Amino acid sequence: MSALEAPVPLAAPAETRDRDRWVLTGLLAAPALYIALMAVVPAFLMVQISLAHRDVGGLWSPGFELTQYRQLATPLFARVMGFSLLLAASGAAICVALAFPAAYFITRMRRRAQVAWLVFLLGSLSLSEVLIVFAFQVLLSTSGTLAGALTAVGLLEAGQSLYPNFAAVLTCLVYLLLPYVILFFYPALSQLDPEVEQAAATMGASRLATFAAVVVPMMRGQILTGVLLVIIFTFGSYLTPLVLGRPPQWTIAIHINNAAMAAGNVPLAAAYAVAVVAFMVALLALTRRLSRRREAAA
Amino acid sequence: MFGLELRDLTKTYGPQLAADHVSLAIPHGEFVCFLGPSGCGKTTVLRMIAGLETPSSGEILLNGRDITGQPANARQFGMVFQSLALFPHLSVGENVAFALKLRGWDARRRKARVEELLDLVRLPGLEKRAVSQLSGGQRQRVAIARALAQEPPVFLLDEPFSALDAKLREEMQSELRLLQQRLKITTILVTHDQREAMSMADSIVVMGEGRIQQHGSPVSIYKQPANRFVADFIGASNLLPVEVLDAHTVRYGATPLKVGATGLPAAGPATLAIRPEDILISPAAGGGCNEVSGIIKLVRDMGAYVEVRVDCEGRDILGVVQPRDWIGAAHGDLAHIRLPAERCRVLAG
Amino acid sequence: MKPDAGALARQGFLALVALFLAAPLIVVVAVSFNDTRRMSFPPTQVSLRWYEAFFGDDAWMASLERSLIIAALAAAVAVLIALPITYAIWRYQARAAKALAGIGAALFLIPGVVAALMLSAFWGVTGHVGRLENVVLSHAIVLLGIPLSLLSVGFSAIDRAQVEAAQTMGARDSDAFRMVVRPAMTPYILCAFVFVFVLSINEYLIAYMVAGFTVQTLPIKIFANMRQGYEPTMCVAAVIFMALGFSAFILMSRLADLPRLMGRTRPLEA
Repeated sequence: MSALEAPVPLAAPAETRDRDRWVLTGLLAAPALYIALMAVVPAFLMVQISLAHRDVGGLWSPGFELTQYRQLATPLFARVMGFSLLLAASGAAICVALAFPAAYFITRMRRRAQVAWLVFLLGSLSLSEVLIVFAFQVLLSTSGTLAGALTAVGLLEAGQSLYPNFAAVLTCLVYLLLPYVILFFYPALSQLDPEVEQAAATMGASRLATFAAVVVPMMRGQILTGVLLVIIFTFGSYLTPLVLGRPPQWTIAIHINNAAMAAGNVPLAAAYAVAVVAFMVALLALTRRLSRRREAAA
Repeated sequence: MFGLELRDLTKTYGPQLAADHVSLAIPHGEFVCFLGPSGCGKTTVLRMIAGLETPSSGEILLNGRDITGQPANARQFGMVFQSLALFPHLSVGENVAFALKLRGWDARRRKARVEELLDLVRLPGLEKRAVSQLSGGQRQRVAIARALAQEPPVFLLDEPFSALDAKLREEMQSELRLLQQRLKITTILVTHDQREAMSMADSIVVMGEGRIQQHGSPVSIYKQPANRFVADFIGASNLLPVEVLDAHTVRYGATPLKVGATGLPAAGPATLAIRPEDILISPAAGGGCNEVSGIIKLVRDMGAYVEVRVDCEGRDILGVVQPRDWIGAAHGDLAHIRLPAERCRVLAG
Repeated sequence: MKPDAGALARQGFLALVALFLAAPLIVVVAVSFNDTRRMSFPPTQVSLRWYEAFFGDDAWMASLERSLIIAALAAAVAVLIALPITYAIWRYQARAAKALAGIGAALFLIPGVVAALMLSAFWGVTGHVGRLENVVLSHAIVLLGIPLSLLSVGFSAIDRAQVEAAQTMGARDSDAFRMVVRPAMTPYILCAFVFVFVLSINEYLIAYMVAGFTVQTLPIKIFANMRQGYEPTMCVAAVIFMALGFSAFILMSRLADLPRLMGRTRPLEA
């Protein structure tokens, strides 16, 4: 969230300060209640359930046991987490590598072209993930155009399917997040002072050299945040790996859902969920620490 | 041999004419100021010289060679931008050495040159400092050092001092002038501040409405403005509507005035320009020629001089008097103004 | 600019990105017009039979209507909750508001399945299962991050000098709100509403886990459809969504400064 500037505080007499307090309470009462009810309570509930005793049939009874967490200490869980992370990281790398230059070019277009791109990016978000996955199935099917084109060129054997596999999952994930990441980079890149790039040009830098030596380093922080955001979002992907991938490519989200719905083991699902959140918080904290250390060293 | 030559340089943005057939020849090592109000086209011309804008028509020649088609990164003219445009992610030394790194200079050579440049701009030892930790004046100098690192044939500055306070600005102006004279580099500085131009430049190009209004030394522009625009823009001027009667006489209101200058425009309406410091004001009538009278509207003691405004035939005439010469008349008093014939200039329009 | 390798590379890259982004959209639209039941692309014959099927089928229309209602309500709730929070941060720097915003952001960032699980457990424990409100309130809390972000951008774009000028002319808080803040914020509020609306309509997992057995939204029906055996009818739903989405954002681009809404502060001439 962006940091908001502080208004210049006037020395407020006691009455207005009290009045402000009343206004604030009035403003925030409903939101606080809503958030407490719909976010804080469910979060605590989930932790509680993860520690509860599992009853057959998807129910649980109150208790305190670490049975479910012991289930997490299995090679299967570690492998699934590892794969999910790998998928998320590769997706993030590709997505950012495409989105950053795209956003850069878009911010430099004339108004009409820029607005057209923004409408296109925003509009493309109105296609549900379900339909996107379906569309990729069609595109990648054995009888589809893409397979036909690749077979004709000789890159693909006839009859071989382009999915389900890791590449298909990765492509679809990149597709899902590309508009968001481009829109994420848009504010910072449109802020860039054009004179900085012009200065580089007067010193002999080509457009490419300017991009690599000036723009990218200046936007280092944004790029890192972008990568992080994509990792976080793709970590929880459910539909795409389910449909476009085989069980080895199933992410942790699929396992959570299976545990809760199919296997009827809600406490296990909750334990998974808690573990995932803890893992992501740890990831965030680690990157924060690393970037702070790098800033200090610079 | 001219260092930089502009021939018929024109730039249009759609229906807008930003630069209108600008032609100019700048000798090697000269310090030129492009001076004019905002929107007059001076920055457009500067950017065309830098290669950051493409002219709609016209040529730019450097040492006789046509460089019009060359992009900015081929011309490599050193440029200081209005926002300074220092690279925030690089240290002072890395900023200054940027062009050198691009050219493949090794670390040792770069270090030596950076040291040399930082000494030149009087910022020794600041190589490792972060840009964000510099003061306004220091950032200026770094921008200048950076632009000069590549030993460019032409040095361009786009209103570089506009963000500085008055005292710092004057300091930087004289430093820049000394630097330029030492390096003998062809320099073009764009500004809207006529005092800045007057104090630094070898020659001034006054621009208005996309055209060159006058090009000459600061003194000649001040003393002999070519037209109303220049007279109005440079220094304070009294511009009085007069009617040309004959080769030596004009009429202001009911008073005929003898004018010493030659080359008056043809009979008809014209403008008489005279600097405030050339006017003589006294409470008593002198009885000589070229004398008009009026009521004092405003007296302002500015410390170094006294400003007097007299309402004369419906127009304000501004006079500037040395404090020791001021007789202490006040608002509402009658005053007599003498406009010495040799100080009057008559301009068309 | 004279054409050069760099410009060609740039245009080529952008064309590829545009093609990549458009490909699934084109596929879906094409399949919806396909005359046969087969999901082939390009379509063999063009017909409107699936459109007729969709608009004639009660189940599809009901789920479309349900999705639209849920989306509109969820968007309204999300914006109404986010507005006081972001206003409190902008006007008062209130720590409590910042904490609430932080929770909202966290909810947005956690994986969808975790949020779905949390919320379905919540509704299950309260005994309030399988209801439309569940989906509305769940979507609103999960998507809260969007209006929180957009509205804070909007507030930070307000020129404080205008507010202060109004104050020196005697405006109280409520006047300043009416005359300066509200007109400036209207485009952002609308944009936030549209954004949440579009995302809510397409959301599958949470809707499914929270009330999926009784409240069948369009994505749920589509996915069920996919598992049972395909029908191009579901592509008709997608085309409707896309038409809605694109129209909404095109309308926004006409009524407001879209680059500014998306966070651009430097002026952009034509």
